[in-house]
Amino acid sequence: MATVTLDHLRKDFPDGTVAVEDFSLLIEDGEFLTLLGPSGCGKTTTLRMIAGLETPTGGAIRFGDRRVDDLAPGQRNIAMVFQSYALYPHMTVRQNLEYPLKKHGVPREERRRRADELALMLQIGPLLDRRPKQLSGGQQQRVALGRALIRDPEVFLLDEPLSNLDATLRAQLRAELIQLHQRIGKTMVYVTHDQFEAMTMSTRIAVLHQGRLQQVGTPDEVYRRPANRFVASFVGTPAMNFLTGEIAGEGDRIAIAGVTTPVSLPPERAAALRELSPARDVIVGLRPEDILVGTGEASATIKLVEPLGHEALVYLDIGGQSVISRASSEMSLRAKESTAIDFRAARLHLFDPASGRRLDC
Amino acid sequence: MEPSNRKRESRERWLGLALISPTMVLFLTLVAYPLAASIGFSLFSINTLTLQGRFVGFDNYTRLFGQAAFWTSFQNTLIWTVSAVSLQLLCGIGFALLLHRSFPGRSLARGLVLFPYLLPTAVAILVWQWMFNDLYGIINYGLLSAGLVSKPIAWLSHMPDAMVSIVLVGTWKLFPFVVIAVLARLQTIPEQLYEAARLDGAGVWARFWDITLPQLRGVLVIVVLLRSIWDFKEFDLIYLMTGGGPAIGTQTLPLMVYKEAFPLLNLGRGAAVAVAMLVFMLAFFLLYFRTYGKEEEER
Repeated sequence: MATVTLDHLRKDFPDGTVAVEDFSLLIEDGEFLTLLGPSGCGKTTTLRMIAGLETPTGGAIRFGDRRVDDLAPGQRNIAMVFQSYALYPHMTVRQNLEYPLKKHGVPREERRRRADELALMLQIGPLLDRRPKQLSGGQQQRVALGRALIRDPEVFLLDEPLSNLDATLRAQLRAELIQLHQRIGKTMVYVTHDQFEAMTMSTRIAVLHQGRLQQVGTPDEVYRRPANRFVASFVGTPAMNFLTGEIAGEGDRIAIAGVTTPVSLPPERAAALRELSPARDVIVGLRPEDILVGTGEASATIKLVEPLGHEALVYLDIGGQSVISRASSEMSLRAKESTAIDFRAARLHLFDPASGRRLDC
Repeated sequence: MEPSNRKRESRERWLGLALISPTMVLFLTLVAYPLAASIGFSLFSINTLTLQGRFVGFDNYTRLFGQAAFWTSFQNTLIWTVSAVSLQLLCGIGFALLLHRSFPGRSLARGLVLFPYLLPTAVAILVWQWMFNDLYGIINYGLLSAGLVSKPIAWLSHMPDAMVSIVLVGTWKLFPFVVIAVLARLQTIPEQLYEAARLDGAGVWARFWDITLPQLRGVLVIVVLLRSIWDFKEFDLIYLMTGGGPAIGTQTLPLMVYKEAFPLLNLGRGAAVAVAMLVFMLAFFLLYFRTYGKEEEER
């Protein structure tokens, strides 16, 4: 069993920075969990604590039932792929692959056999006698993966492994990593600041901000029901639009500032909001695809149109509030013109203006 | 080719020659001429004071190679160079590793370790001679007080103690060079290599052998090369410590050059020893470069 339990984990650095605070999470066996967040959010520190490269100042880490906080990194039966790959530059690819086995006393013949097997699987066979600096970024990444795989560890830790690659290679390796995870079925903890990677690869995503866990959920949950304003703004490109508004009617309508007609909510959403007092101020969150251009009763002024080929991003002014919407590239939209707009009421998000928390949980 | 292009190329060629000419003039006057003059002198029997002499061909060399003192000096040079360079490497790497770790007062310690290297040799040797003095030196005092010896040791007038003394002082004086070079390299080794090794199950020693040493290799090759050249021709430290004594117990080839050329006033013979030194060094470094140059290419 290789579940990973983080139990009220905390990390203070000597300079007083609190890198991670009260972080609890159960990572299931065989899960691909992504720690997502902007730089400085504590995701890499968390990963390094799981690896044993940083000592937590509070809380506990368990693999299955075994507490691992006091174990040296080499005794935790984990493997890590670093952002810079950290291949040993003076060793050949084969020596790099065999190194973890050598340090664990695996006999030479066995080491050779396993390195050959992995080289075949990762298609790096012809590179076995080369040194890391003679390899391309993608090839180095494969070797780094190979070195992680060779010991058949319980848990894989990946620290932004794709961020040094160009876009094409990144897409290719992303797909390879997904396939690899499906094939070996091991627990993987993946750190990235790239929400696209997180959305495409993960079983679940844990969003971190300022050392605190903001939300854990499937990519779909995180995208469709963000727990707070930070998650809502961090996940999704272009980012979610935020408009000021208030709850109107019987709690079944939302008045958005600058829009004359309040938006009616579907009954199931309205029911969730009924307990909130009417006339309460809210922040209305709308994804760009949920603002429809060229239809509806409300109107907005087009500020700018960015054609992307398959679609266009339309920058709108709604009563003095700026928003971005997606529109079909076939529509003829021109800057400075006025256009009709509509909102997908069922997909509208409401947040508390003070705390930023989602209101209709 | 267009005439204007040809003109420009010719102008650039002249400009290139003009730019390297100052270096060439310096090289010819400061390196090539003295070297040629030394080789020339070694073929003459010349009085150092009058600079009068006659051409003797290879007589200086045949005489030299038949002289036991020459081979003893050669042997002494090898013993001194090999021991001093090895000890400097050992201490240099050790101190560099120590100073690479973080501890309170590290900057001060890094500055202090350079002290022996910066101290003028004459001053340092004066102090060491006092310390090694058999009657009132602190070293003998310490050894006697601790009961390690029953009577004072005549460090500088007895063999092999005299050689041990100059090797120890040489190491003390010169190891900071190794510290600087190794410390500079240590700071550029990515921390992640050590982290990866820890995850791969490497302990402290394994990390030193498998990461640190291979990473230091390049700088150590250069350090060994430079320190060997410098220590092979070290003069002032040995001359001031023992003057080559007792008898010729610590006389190295540079001291022999000096002795032949100045006290014995035979510039030709002194030059012949110097040329022999040059040949030994060239042979050593050709071998050295062949061994390490090839390996570096393979990397």
